[in-house]
Amino acid sequence: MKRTFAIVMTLLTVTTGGLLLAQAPRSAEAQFKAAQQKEEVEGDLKGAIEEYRKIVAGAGTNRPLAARALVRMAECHQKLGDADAQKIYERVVRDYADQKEAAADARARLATLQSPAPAQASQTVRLVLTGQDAFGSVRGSPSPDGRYLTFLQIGGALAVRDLKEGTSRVLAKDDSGSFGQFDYSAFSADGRQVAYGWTLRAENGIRSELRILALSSGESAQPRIVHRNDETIRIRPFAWTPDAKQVLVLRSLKDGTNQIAMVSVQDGSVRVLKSLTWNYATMSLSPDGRYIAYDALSGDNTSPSEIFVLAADGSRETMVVQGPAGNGSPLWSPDGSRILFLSDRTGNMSLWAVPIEQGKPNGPAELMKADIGRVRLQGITRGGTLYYLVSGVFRTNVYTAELDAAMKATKAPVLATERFINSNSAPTWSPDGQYLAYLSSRGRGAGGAAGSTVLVIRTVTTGEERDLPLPQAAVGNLAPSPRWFPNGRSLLVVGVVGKGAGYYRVDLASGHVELLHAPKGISENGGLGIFSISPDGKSVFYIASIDDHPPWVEKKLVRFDIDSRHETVLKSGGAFMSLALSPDGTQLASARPGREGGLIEVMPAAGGETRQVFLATGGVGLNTLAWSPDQRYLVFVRPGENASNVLWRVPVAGGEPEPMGISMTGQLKSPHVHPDGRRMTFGSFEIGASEVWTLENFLPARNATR
Amino acid sequence: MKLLLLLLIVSGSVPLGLDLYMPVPEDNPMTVEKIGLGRRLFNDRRLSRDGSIACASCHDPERAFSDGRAIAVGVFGRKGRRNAPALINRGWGRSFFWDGRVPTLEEQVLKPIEDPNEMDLPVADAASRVGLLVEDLSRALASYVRSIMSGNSPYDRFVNGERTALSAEQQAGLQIFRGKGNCTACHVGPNFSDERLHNTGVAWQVPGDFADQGAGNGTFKTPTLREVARTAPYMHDGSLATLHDVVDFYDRGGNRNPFLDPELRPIGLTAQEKQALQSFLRSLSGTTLK
Repeated sequence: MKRTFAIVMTLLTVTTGGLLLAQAPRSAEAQFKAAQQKEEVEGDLKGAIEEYRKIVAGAGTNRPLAARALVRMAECHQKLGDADAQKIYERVVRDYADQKEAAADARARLATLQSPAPAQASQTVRLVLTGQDAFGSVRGSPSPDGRYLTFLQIGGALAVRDLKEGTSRVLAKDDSGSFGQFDYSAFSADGRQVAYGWTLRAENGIRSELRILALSSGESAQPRIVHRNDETIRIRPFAWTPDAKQVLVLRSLKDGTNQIAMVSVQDGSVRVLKSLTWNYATMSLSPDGRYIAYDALSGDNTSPSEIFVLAADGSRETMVVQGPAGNGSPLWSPDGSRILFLSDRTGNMSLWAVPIEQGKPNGPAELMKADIGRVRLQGITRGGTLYYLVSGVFRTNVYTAELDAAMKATKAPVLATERFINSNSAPTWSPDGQYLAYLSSRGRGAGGAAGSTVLVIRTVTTGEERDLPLPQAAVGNLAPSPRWFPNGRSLLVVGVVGKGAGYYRVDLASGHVELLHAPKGISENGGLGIFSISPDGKSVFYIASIDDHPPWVEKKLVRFDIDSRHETVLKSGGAFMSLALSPDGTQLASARPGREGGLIEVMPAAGGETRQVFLATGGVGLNTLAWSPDQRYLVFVRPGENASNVLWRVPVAGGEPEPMGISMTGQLKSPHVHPDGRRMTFGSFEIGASEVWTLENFLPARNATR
Repeated sequence: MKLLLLLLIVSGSVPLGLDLYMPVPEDNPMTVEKIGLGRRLFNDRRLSRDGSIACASCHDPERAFSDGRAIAVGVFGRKGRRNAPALINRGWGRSFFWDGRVPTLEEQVLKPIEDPNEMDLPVADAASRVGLLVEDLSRALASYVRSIMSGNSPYDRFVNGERTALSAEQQAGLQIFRGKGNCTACHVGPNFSDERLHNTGVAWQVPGDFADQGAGNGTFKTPTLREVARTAPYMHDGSLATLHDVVDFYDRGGNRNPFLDPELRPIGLTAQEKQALQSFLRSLSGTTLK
């Protein structure tokens, strides 16, 4: 309820295109939100500075508000590159010392302005790997000497890249004959062994193992299973102790707990040091094996992450890096004198280091490399070379295409909107075809990171767009598409509810947002939760998981009747990827992977027997199914050549499918045919190339003065 | 035996199922002597105004440090507001009291001494009566409370590989606990508590209002479920007498009210499932260090 209230308040306080309360006097908080909107959503930094200036002038005795506004104002100046930023930060530190959070923020930002990264000029940055192997190294790590890098090969194998020779080879293949998945891996201190996590989805549940292989072993070598436990659903090794007797892991249990633990290499026994409910952590073990650095959220999911040092014997813990910015990915320097970490305390993601002595901070954090970007720190070699992965940037866009009477494209698809290109997804037509709704990510997080979500309502005839910020809603390539209620006055969107997700109804006239239903087993961002609304607006059909935990293979199709709040499971079992209710509400189409390809099926919406419409070789994707308005065809997406996706239509009554003349590089999502049948919309999704880089000569000497 | 247990605690050995790391303030490290002193103080009736009540009066070690009454009773028979919570594994707690209003055990242990409905004695007087400074009284009591642990239950042995430690019915109950029952939405982690505040509607008894606002809008902190079979009656007001009642309460989705936690909804458990869930909850009784 609090979340719903927060959404409502945000909707009511943010100035949106022609929305509410424009005439009402704005509260200080509303003014602040409006300034933030100008800064983050509209990108109007000068306008935002003016807004913040007014807030400070009118704050009176509200010192917390004034301090916050000053920090934001300074941040805008900083982004503009003018010198006022420093003066304002200094003012906050000097005049608002009682406002601890704002003062700390200002101090941190001042530090970056006043202390450029040491030895920036001598730093060496090298691209060492790109392409599929780099993409697969998202869970990999470098060997201590930097010669090798582990990665996951497409098709399910753990592999190692010899960066000196430029060759790759498989270390271990999935020979389970089932659904085995490799996970994180870590080299032993001598570089001769690799520990990795492996998870198997078996008939009797999920099983996760910690395994060890010698680096020199061939792909047919059998790994040593060090730890196996029926309660463990995922195990991620992060480091070995220097004596190679234990492996530091993050162990995820069936109840949702994540444990920082040491696993004995000899007997597999587990020593649980600390439990982190729900929170994942990135960890690093100090070179002497005495301390574990990890990142974690200190409060709820909206809190910034902080960095802690936990004694490896469990005797004590110290917070070494505190918010208000997001701080994460800790990594010990090779001499153990610093913890490197990523932080967006200056507005942009940069590499920082905090000096450490006996597990405690020994001075302020120092900037190591500014604006490193949104990267994953993979590891650091004995010689101090940092490896980091630059993941390909997500590009999501919304397109429309004109169709002829046979549902073939008459022209190449065009972008439905040119606002916030590469940040838009999940389009859907209104029932009368007058509007197009879609999701758009905004603010700092545009492009995949955390940011705000906006529901955009576009008037088809005029191109006018209206934004409705939805801070709790999902966004991105995997977000379930919003759906219109039949009266065209409200939409249903998927958003976060507690630790799960739920369906929120957004009233377009009032801006009111209410939680309609929070079923178990749906997700705010993924195949779970894809839904349709019945033509009478009384029922929601959706895909939910049967499993309690990842990888959520077994799913069910559910109908939720809004008035009675009753759920009916229509079909259970199968990895459903897409769902679409026919326009008359009588038939429910679904798509799921089968043994020989993607199965497109139809069943009565009231429940009953399923009929196969088509077996799509090449498989089916998430959220890739739609009906034609006359219900004669099902539109679906099929892989094409050169990593493209192609739109097809297949007669519902049976028959051969035909391509619709629309293909895109990357993936197609959320197809939806206009009610007039002569247009359609869809979302596209591409990931740019991933790259592994190294950074050298960036660490100060151990005794360098600060 | 007790000394051995204290040594285990101080040396960092904890019962199976609990984290090795326990947050202990740097200015109040655990020592055998301090835990022993705290234990004596915990049972010392001089800490109450009329010398009739000790901490242990409402936190009975035989009841997993809880009270058999619905509402705690203090000096002069004065009735408190809430049920005395079990003091198990509080060393891992992040906030204290049903409404989480106190952030440290050092602060928490002094509050009942001062509370007019509990022990009703200024802490300075209490410390003076036992010949200590207030700080030392607080530190000793907090250290002792930190030493009260429960683990190594059949459940702990089960999840650590002893697959016969739970009966078939208890295993079925565990499945419900994690799955259909959605109990792990709040009762999660080694202590079966997310240490957060939730509105379950227990306090929604007065038409249109709460009988007790808790931390606001009828929210209360998730209690541990360890030793839950020994800590009846249940809920912050002790309004549910048995585990059966508790399971029934959650099965119907709590009490609907404007601030009901979104994780709560009608579950639709069968009688057999309810029985299995209760059976599982009984498996959470284990070894208590006290």
